[in-house]
Amino acid sequence: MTGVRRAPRWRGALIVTGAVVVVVAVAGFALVPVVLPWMQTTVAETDRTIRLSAGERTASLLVPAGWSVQRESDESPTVVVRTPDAALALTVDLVPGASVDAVAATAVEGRGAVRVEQTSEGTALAHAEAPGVLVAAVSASDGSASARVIARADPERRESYDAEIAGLLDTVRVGQ
Amino acid sequence: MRRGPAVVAGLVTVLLLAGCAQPSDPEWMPHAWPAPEIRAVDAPPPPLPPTKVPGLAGERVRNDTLGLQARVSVVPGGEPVSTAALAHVRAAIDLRVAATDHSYTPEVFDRAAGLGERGCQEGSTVRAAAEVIADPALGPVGGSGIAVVCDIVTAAGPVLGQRIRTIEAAAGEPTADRATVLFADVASGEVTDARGLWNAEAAASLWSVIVDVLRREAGALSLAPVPAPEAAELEAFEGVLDTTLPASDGSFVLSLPEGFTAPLLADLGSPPTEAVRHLVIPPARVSALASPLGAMLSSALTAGTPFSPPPSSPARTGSTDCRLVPCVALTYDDGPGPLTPTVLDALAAQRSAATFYVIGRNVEGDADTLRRAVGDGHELGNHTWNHPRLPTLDAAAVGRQIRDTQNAVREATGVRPTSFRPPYGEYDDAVLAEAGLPAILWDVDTDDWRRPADDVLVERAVDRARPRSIVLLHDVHEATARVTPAVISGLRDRGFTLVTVTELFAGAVPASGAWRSAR
Repeated sequence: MTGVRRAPRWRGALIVTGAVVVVVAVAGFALVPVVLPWMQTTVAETDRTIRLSAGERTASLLVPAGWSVQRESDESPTVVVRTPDAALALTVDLVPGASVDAVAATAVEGRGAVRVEQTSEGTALAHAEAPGVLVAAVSASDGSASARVIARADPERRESYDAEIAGLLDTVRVGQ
Repeated sequence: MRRGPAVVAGLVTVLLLAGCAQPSDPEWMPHAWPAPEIRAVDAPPPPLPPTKVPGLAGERVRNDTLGLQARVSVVPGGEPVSTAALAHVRAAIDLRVAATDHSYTPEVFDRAAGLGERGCQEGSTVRAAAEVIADPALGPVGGSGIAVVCDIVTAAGPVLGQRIRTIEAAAGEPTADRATVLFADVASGEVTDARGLWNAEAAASLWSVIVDVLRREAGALSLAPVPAPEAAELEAFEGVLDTTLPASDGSFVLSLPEGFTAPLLADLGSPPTEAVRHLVIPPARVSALASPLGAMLSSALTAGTPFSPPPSSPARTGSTDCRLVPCVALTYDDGPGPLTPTVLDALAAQRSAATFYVIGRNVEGDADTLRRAVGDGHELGNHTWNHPRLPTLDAAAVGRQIRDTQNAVREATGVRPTSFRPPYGEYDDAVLAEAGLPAILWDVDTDDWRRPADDVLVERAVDRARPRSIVLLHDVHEATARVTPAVISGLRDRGFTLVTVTELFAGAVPASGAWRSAR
């Protein structure tokens, strides 16, 4: 009678390890762009000032405690701020020109008329709405540049965040 | 050997989960805008039923020659308040005199005119103008002329608010329509308009509050305070204060007109208001911005304090201008007697006045009745001691008849009569000279002493009277006492106001002579 000869154990281990390596490689290519930014997201326990710069243009805004701030680096001209419930995301960047122009130039489907106001500092504040999106901008005092804020949330809930958005916009300072 | 791949797989899993997870606090709630201090309501506070406001009396003037009908409420005992309300009636008369080239003389009508129903008709100031003009109880005859109507808008503590509306019309078509609200402190006599409920800072403050509410409604995101209004904006907003109406909880309601806007709102792309908006200013804000009278009113409403009218006599004496309203004096001779209280009751029930020419020898036995008559606001006159034919007496006897009665009345009531009535209407120059008082006779004789049927008695007393007539009755006949309510209501339905003899003569009887009427 002839006995069945079992495969060597080292062969099975090799197969499993190879499969794991493939999975890790695929995951790495797919998820690093997602995971790494989150690894650059910070949440502070106190209010903190975030600064942006793009060439000679600068801006700052005060992010409330508990909100998350996501940016590629401290020198990045763009920052994404999220409310603690993560339901509202505001993308802030620096653009040339006055706030009205900045809002008008931002392409958002279904955007309504641009509204003009002033912050409590007296600087120009412009904003317009679209379903689930609010585009706003605060000018520098000379109108040469603006900090643009694009706020996105579930369309059914977006307006409930107006007071929070207003509070954030009122802290924006451009060119300082 | 198997442990190694498991560790690697676990590490990959952790990375995956870490990548999908977001920092979040699902319990966190976004802050909302602070609740607006003011809110909108569908309609301003409705007027009050005037019958539910104690101490009010009604005036009603109808004049077909000029084309005028006017109704206002007055406050007996609160002359400044009444004067302010009647000023609108006088203004309407002046307009019609100018428009028609007729002079004004008080007019009366037959009993069917129903002019006894007086004062404010609830809701008349908010009805369509054409409806008011067409209503025979409110509008001028034929639909041409002026209607003055009123509503009680508030009554709390010592404060009364009355809206008075003047509608001009030609052939039933309104040509002008304006209203004002008078607020009066009946205790102090202060009278103001709606704007007077607010202090000097109110207009600017309320403007800012209202613009703030409107901007949030329009989607504003600015946290900057609303800039102060420009002078022109403030001036325009003052007109909004004229619409102030108090609500029963002490808040004040403003009616923002259609077309209201502000530069801040225009920049937001918010169009001018498309309809009237009624905005409620809460009591806390009212108390910070109100004038002393406004604050007093708001506090009284908040506390539920009922309206407290000033003290006044049941007969409303002293508040009637017989150049404005048609007046008649009912006079009762030969009392006081057991029927006099019945007459007094009837007069009190319809807030009407009369004059009692009393017999001197009856005074002591019925002093209480006389004191009540005086307390109710009626007038006492001298009808001699025992009702003789005065021309048959010598001077000394005439003098005693008058003097002894004067003393008896003064002793019983503290009042000294200022006129006398000669028994049977008989007098001569000697009697007048000795009496030293004017003789007040009559131009309407009911002959009640002949015991006519009640309806005949009423017809004589009511239908024969003319403005400034003096009617002769005797409060010693049962029929006279019995028909007093019908006589009073009949005269009032004709448009008369019942006054004392002194009031008939504009507050002062002539010093001498004999008078059958005040014409």
